Amino acid sequence: MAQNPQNKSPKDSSPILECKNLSKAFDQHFVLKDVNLEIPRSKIVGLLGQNGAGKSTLIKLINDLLVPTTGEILVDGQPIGIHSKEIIAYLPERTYLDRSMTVRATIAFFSEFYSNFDSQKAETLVKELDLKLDQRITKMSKGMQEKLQLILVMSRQAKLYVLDEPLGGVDPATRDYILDTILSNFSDGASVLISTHLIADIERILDEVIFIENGRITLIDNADRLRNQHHTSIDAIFRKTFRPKTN
Amino acid sequence: MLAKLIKYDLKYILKTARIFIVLLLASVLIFNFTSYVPELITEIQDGQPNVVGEIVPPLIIQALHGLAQFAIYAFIFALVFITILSIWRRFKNNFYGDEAYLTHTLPLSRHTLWTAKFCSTFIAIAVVILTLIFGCFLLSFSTNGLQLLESFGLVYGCTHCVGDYYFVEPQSFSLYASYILLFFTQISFITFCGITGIIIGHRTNRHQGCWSLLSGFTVYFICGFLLIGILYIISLINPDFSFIFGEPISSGAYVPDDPRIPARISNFINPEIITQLFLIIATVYLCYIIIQYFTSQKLLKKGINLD
Repeated sequence: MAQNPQNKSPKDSSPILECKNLSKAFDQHFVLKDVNLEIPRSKIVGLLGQNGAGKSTLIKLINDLLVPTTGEILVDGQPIGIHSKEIIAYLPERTYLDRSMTVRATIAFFSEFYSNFDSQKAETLVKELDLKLDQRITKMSKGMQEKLQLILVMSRQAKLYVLDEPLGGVDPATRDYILDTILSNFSDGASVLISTHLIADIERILDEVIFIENGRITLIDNADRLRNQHHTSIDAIFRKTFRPKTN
Repeated sequence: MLAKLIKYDLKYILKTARIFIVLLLASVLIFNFTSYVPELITEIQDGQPNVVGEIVPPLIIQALHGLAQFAIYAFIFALVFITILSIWRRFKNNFYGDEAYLTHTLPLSRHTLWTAKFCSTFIAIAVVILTLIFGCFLLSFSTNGLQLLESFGLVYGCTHCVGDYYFVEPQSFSLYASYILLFFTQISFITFCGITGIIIGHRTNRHQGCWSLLSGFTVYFICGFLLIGILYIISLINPDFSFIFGEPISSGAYVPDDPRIPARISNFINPEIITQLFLIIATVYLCYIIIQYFTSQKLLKKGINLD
């Protein structure tokens, strides 16, 4: 079980992320409904749900990429803003890099804009993951670009890592490698929120799990307690919970 | 941070534009080097000089000259067009495309992000305008270049005032300056109409491309009609400007004090009036741009909704 023990000050006992009565609607169709949740510090939390359950919407709201219809989000006790962006390292589902840049230029870009970015660490990880510093992003495969994004995100000394489907476009052999990269590179005392539907691959690292279905949070629990309660894996519990209804 | 954002924007926008800058200046140089004035061959027949032919440079030079002239037209258009397109593309990608996932998660306020876009747009257009001025300056070194400038309407007075040769009136420096300012503000205004259109279009949940296009054109046409209205009111107040709407020149009639000007030409517009007119239009465009800056900032402050 991956844990991230830290000596907690009284302030550190407050959650790193709080969502209060959070809803999001598009054209009067609600994709998130009255979400209330707290992400504690120093935990790895899995945001688990089927495709279209509202995982990405929730993550976009946390990252100021969508405007909530109702409700409030607090990060480190403050509303979404410059401070939250400074302490959240976000890995989106899609490639967000400027394709005309090289790997080295991209690292320089991150270094210029994020005060908590460790260029040295990024360059080391680039070499470890068999990428080339002078390679242009446009010449890289989608998988390589995703690796680079992961490196850039994990090279930040953030307080909250928000990873949206980090294993989405990756072959099964690489998944463990990516998970290990995440585990061995996030900063001390930080929390990680991982959204995925590939639960079997990820459950070994989770401290807490959140189940989301049709825009509603249906379960928030400790991963070990859940496993002990049901005498089975989180993956099996998920499959049982979200089994398609047959006639 | 603002300067860093502007730096990255300009790098992207001018990446393609610089190719056209080089090509345009190269075309101007070729045009100047191949410049020629046909020399007439005359013979005295019955005591009168009679033109029997002309001396022209080799065909290859003529062809190169013609090609360079075409290239100048093409590259001026391409430079302006490509720069505007690059600004729009950069803005759309950065604010609403895949790159928006990075842009909007940078630890910067939306105000900073938007101001950076605003400044980089202005700087990029200024670079284009400066290139065009430099190109015109180079053209002014050759006779054919001056003829070309005249075809752009850039040698004031030459068409009306002097039949056989070209000159720049001393007072026309302010005219040139106002012309440049007008061109700069007009291109900037068109670019910002597109950006405003993109912002408005992306506030809808569907068909954002169509809405962006429609919004951009709507803003452009509304502002255009307003400008005509403003000019009409000005022409009512000041008869010097009545010629804009086809009225005969009244108090604005002007006869340049130059002995070279044929007496038959009398319908001059005072260059000062033209200068004032250009300055008024440039000021209106500038006001539009400022309004668009604050309106767009307000819209962006409300937040964005990425797909």
